[in-house]
Amino acid sequence: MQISGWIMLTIAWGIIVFLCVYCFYRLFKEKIK
Amino acid sequence: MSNNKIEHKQKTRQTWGSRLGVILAVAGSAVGLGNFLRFPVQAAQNGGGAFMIPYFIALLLVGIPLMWIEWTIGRYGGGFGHGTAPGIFHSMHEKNRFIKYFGVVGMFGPVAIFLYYCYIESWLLGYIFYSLTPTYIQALKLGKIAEFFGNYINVNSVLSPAYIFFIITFILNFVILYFGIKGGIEKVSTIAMPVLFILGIIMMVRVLTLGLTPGTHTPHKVIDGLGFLWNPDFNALKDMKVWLAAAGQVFFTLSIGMGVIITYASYLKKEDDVVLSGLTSAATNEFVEVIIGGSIVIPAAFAFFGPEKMIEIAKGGAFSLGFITMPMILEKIPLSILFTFLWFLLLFLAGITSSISMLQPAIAFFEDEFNTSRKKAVFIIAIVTFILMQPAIFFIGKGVVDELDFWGGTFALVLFATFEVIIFSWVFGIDKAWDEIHKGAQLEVPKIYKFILKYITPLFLLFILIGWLVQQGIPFILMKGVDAANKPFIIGTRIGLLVLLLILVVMVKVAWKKYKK
Repeated sequence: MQISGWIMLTIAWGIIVFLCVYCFYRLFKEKIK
Repeated sequence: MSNNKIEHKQKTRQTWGSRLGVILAVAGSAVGLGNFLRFPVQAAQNGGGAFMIPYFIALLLVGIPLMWIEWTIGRYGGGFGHGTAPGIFHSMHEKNRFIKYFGVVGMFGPVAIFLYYCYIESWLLGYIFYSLTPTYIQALKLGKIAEFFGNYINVNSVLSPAYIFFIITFILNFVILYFGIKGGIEKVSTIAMPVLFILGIIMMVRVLTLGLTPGTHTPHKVIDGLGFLWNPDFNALKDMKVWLAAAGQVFFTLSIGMGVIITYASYLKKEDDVVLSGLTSAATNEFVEVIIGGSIVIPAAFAFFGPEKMIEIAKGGAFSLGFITMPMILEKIPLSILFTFLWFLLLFLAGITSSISMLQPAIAFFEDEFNTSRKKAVFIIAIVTFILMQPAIFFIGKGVVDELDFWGGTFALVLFATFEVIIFSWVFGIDKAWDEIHKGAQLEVPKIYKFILKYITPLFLLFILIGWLVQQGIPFILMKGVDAANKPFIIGTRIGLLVLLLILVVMVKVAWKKYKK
């Protein structure tokens, strides 16, 4: 795998993981009923 | 206040049991076979890592805005007792008596998709069973798995194994729907989605550790398989086809434009949040698609077959990848029977959480607009879909499935999404729409999205619609390159779908006539 491939993978995975963690953090903070 | 609103206010509709339940149900609808089989092939064929640039642009400009639109209009329509697009559109602009007919597309699409999707889903149930039988294991060992698959899907009679598994899958779908929103769909989604997630992670870890654990030597490095998917070819971005493919993938993966999310959202309460919930369901789907789905089939196939065969494998299509290539790979590793079983179970769970969502709009239409009981509505839809599914099963190689996928799974989706965004941002009005989105919101939508919702999303959708029609739609409609023997089947399917569409239009007319009385 090329460096550029690693960069693309890291950015894409990073955005998605951040989005998931942020959303679920906010959801649990608001206490899911 | 119109009669329509008065009558609906007296009815009690079903509601979701919990917020996590509705999020998982929407994510379950979105996470389907495409997350594991379609996305990696699309990415690998369209610029690798560079594909993710138009993919994320489409996600931000079309995917997430439409997710918010569908959650919002669904909740809004639900407040007036409407769970399907005709009633929802009508309640958004009551002065126009034609607006409800645009919503018919949002009921037609999911039913048309279900007509073939449920059959494909039943193959997975069949393969879950077969993966544990000596006949299948023997076929795998002898390299006759493609032959096995060909024989399996070729149904000659109602006693064929594929037909029996279809009946079981079909009944299973309707049993879940029979138990309703909270007792059926929500219950299944809250169990199936975490299991699917765990199975996906297990398969992903298994693939990414190939070559690192004993007995899993591969001719090529699995990490280079990831490279096959992620190494960017930025020249591909100059090709319009790549942009269309990325936008199309975002569309299909999120289940937007189907009319399914609006029905699910119609069971929300008036002050329930839609912004955070919609974003969470989209993010969950993206995790399963890009991170898990992108790390299973392509890296595994590359590790065993190498770069030379990858193009051929990718061109073989999603079914070949899921039912032939992946079992061939799993057969070469320790605990192969277990992993093959888990692979089909993973796909089946992804399939069933999607297929149940496809029928809920039709059931909700009967319940809401004709005051039919759920039991009766489920029964009517079961009979109708069962009859309509028979051509897809018995004429599978004759182009019937492709037709259903084109009209229901592609054309109707893009068209309906275009209607939705125009009605939401322009007819309902962006200021009113903006207030409606933020009712009970636990997250503020960035202000730039007011501009995106009004101008960018509709334009982007028109670009997708026109670009895709020119590139694939018109040649498909004109049946270019189609075998002459298949043409009668294709024409027959088109007539059948047109009749279905007209029946839905008449039903909407009849339902509203009843309100006037």
